[in-house]
Amino acid sequence: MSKMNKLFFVDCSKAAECCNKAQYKEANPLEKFKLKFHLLFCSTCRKLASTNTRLTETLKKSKIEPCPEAQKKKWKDSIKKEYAEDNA
Amino acid sequence: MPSKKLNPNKWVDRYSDYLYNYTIVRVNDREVANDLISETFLAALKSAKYFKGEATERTWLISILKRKIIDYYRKINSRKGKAEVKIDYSDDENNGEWLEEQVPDQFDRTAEDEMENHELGLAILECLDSINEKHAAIFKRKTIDGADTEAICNEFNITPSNLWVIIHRARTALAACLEKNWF
Ligand SMILES: [Zn+2]
Repeated sequence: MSKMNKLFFVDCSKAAECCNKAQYKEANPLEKFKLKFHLLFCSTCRKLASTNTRLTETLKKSKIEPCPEAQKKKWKDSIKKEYAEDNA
Repeated sequence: MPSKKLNPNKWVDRYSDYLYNYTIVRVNDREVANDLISETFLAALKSAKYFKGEATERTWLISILKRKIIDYYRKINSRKGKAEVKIDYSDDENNGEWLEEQVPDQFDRTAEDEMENHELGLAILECLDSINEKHAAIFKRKTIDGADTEAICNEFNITPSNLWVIIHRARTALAACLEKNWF
């Protein structure tokens, strides 16, 4: 039973980790199972998990477009250069 | 004096995602957007001494960017005569000036939805500005850029379990920030 306990019962912080991994589709089947099992009897995590899932949907809906890293670097360099000149 | 309030070396890390997403919807051309943002940063540096600290750094940068976008459309409008202009009428500033411009007449439901989702994106980016800087950076790499867990761990020199703790804190803080208006 204690082995079973270890396998299936996880604490809230481990459940949160599984839940976050699941938001990025990085939870393995065992982690998914542990999370589902934990949610059966933990209402706090159930609430957290539903907020988390809603957040994932919201993020998807928002369609934020990543700004290309190369462009960021260009801006950084030009600001650095200009700023250094101003303060020279 | 302004150096106390402004931190130009942090501008790109802190505001470029917001400025980028703000601009691409309004000008619909990434190259142009990048140029306008470059001009904005340089103009901001030039007028740094006039920054009084009454607005936040971000609000101030956006007000400069708005000017750049207006100027850009002025140029186009005077060149082409008429052009479709994507503008945000909810902005309180510059209303008078906007009214002279052309309004897209097919402002249908899809466009409205798109605009709302766009505003949502900006709200998310704004919320991310208010949380722990490192957490926000890691969250953005993971969620917006879609970078691999392993790559991010190497980049920030953290373990995967560190990463998941940070992602958890960032997501919790973000949800709390969005709670008021969007959830
Ligand atoms: Zn729990």
